[in-house]
Amino acid sequence: MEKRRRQIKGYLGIDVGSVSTDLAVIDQEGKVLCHQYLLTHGQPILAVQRGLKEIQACLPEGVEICGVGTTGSARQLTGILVGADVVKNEITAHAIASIHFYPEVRTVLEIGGQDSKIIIIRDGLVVDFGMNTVCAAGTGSFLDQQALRLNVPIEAFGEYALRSESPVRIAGRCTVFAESDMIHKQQMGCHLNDIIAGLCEALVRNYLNNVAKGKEIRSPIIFQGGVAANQGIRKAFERELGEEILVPKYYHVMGAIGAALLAKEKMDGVETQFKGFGVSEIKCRTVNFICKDCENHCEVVEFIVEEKPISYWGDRCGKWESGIKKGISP
Amino acid sequence: MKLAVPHIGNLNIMLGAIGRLIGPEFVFPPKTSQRTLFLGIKYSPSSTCLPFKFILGNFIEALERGADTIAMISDHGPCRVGMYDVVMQQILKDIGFNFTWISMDDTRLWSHYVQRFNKERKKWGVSLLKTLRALHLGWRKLRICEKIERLAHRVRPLEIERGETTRVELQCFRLIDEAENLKQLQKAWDESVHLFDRIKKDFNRRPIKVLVTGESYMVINPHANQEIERKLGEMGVEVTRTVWITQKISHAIGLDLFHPRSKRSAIKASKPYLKYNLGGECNSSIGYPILYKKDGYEAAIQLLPLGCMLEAVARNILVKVSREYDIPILTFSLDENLSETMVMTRLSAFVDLLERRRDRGNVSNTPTRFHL
Amino acid sequence: MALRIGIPKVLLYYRYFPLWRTFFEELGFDVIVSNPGHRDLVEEGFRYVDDDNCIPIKMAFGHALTLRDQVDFLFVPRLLSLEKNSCFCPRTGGLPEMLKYSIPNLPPLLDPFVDERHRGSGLSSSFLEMAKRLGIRSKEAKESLKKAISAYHEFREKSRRGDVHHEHISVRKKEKVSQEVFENKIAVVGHPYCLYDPFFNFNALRLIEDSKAIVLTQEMVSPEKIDLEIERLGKDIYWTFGREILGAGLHYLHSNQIDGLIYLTCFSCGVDSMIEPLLSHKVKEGGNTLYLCIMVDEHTGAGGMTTRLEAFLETVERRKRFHRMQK
Repeated sequence: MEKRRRQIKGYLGIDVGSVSTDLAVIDQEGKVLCHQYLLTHGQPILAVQRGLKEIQACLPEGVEICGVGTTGSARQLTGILVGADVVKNEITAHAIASIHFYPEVRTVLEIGGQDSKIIIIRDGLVVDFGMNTVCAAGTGSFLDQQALRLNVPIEAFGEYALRSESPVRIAGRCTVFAESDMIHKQQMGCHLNDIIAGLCEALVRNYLNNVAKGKEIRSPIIFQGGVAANQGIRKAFERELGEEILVPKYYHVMGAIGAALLAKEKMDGVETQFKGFGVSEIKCRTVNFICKDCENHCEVVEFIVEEKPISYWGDRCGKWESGIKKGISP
Repeated sequence: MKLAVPHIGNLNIMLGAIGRLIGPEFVFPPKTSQRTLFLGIKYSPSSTCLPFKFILGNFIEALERGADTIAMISDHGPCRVGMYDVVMQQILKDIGFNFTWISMDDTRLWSHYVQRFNKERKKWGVSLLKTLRALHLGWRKLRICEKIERLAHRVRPLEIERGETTRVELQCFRLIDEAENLKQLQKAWDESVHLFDRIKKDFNRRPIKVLVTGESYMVINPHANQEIERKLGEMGVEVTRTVWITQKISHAIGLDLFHPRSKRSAIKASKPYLKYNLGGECNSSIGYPILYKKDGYEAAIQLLPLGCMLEAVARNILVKVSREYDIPILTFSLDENLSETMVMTRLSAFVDLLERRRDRGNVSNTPTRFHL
Repeated sequence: MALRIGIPKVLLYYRYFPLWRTFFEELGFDVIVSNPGHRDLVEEGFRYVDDDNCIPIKMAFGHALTLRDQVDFLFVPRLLSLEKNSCFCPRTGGLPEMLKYSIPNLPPLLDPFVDERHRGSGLSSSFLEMAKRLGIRSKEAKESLKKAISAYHEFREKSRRGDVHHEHISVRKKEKVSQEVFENKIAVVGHPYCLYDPFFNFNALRLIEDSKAIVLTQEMVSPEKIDLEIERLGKDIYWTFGREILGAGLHYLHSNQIDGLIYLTCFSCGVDSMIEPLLSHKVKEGGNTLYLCIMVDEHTGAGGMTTRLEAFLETVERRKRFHRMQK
């Protein structure tokens, strides 16, 4: 007799950002079953396909995907590609994940590759948020640039920073300006540890002055996003704010976990739209074109699978999206 | 005389109606597009504000279409709009255009403009009755356009098929533009109501209500604010805005004394937070969210061009208002570098925040009131 | 102990401080001027204010922070207009509220509202009202105000002669200047707080003076000359400082007695964004004056300022030498 298989309901979350693509699968209780973190390299479709393959490989036996949520800057595209049940912005996704792990949380600091945000939560409810404006001040790429310049692997930044006794003050908000000041400090003979610690402090200062401006930061404070791996930044935050900073275990895939939680929340007895892991094999691409039907000249995105357009978005009047107009782009 | 005016809301529908009936001949710039902005940025000093760039782009495109006269409002400070005329004239002349510039200055009395218009009218040989009729028709058209916008604000969050309201709205504007007299205008309005009626709606939805406030050019013009009203509507939000062209005109000639949501009353509401009237939309931007809270608007979005002197003051003070009245406020400093993705992410996070807030029952469910 | 009145050393301080100080000191108050000592302390305040504001406004927050625990009152006047036909930037009008709502635990603010364009809110009536709030008899206040106004006029007269730039800038008396040593005359225009605040412009005026040049500012041009230039322009400029900057800049330009013209401005200044294109256009039309516009923003460092100024002064010098050789 065939043994009865154990069935686990799983929910998949995908966070496709400009720098990294994260995937996570959670179970009915919200426990993380497995997760993946890979670089987007400017090709969100490929990254998602690769990520799906990898996550399928590490998925425990008997897990059935009952809901999918996507988030991040390529959430819409990914949503169509995999057949998502929920497509949500990354601020909400991050907030949901933080509240899930730390119900008492009141502030979420999130620093990613090209954007960073602050989320203010009171009684488990988002009440305010902020994001970085145009420049890269207070984001991860600020550190990446300097790591390249100093020839120190970014992963080692934290160690170096922790060894510093007196961090150097580095002025300037943008990478470009900080760089010239850093070179100046190098010429003055400052120690590498102190320069790196100084960079961490500069990032934290810029984050607080730019992203977190005017926000009430209260503990418990959660620090997540790719940069949270850096102990130097965490210490710098603790020094600046005078509060303990918590870094969650899954700090780098919180967005994906949030998307998965959102999917779980929505899928209450509803059938999932998920197209299955087979999606990672299909051939697809996107094409942009300008619709010249009216004066608006919208830039429409066409999603093509196996040379057949299956979906459109980006039009203001909705006639492409709703299928009134069809056909391969002109 | 081929007169060019900037593209502001539906002003061209009103002026077009007047122009066709009695003159002058208007040369409207093409609908503000990426090219308009591109031209504006190319020729503007880099540190000017976004409205300057849009309007300069409008004028360049209108001059390219053969306009020979430009009419532009001007004032006496403190906002920099009063300086637009000298700087723009200088730039346009440098590019090599020939034109006459008419500044509508608020330092002169209204009677001055009435007299001037009268002189022109006699030159054209148009009777006073006909002039008044034309003005009446133009004004009615503008009013009806705004009524349609308000209808669209209410219907859009209920629409089942995304984009239908936007399409209907555009069609209605066209109908109104084509009407040649009051009778046809009435017909166009009836037709518009009918069109809106036919949009498939889901009446079970309970849209969140959000107020769009801030600097007038940014609030009135969808092209300047990245069509924030449409985007919010499609996310299921009922919006209204604080600045309307008719309201600006009636405020300027003092006809809004009894309107409960007039700029006058908004300035009064802002008194506890900003004692003195600084000018522009600064005080009313602060006062409006307080007024509209009573109408069931749960949140506000403030729009300002980056570097705006007046709205920057309002922005800092709105933080306090937001806390005391429990009104979440999201501010956008708009400039040409703000990408659509960033706007969308913030907007949808804001709407999520409001939805979850409401699910908790933090918000009283006040019935909607409309001040058409 | 006398009550202490704190005055942040920002914005209109650089024009009206003599008036304020005399007024309060005559009434028996101690006047304490903020002195952060280091740019970092000024930047502390940036956290409290949005990026839509210009640096001088942001700096006010840093200065207010340093005064917070030292004084009984904070004097942040709300000067909208001091002349019938012109006004200041509206940001200064909203500054008291912005400070009050953003920085916790500030001492009570003294914020007289001065708008000469409307009756009843002129300088004297609003200062007398403020004095009344402080419990001072109006006769006393009137006398102090009289003295204060004459102190202000004295200060203006002095700066017109070029005797004082300001207390921080080296006072280099004109009489001592011999034409042989100080050959180059550099006119510097901009809002007074852009010209004289060393934290803002990294001591730009000092740098120019150190290069053996004479600094001429818009304060040294008489109001009559400014009026004349603005009349020739055909458009009345409604900003007090904008009018002064443009008038003085044009005066220097037309007078043919300067070797270079510098416009100091800050990022997102609404007034300068309109005045600067007008001035630079006239410079281009004239065709023979060297012109430099330096815009200071949060990225600007001392290095950037020095490099630009040195390059400009070097160009001035070289051009002069070239002309001399041709002769």
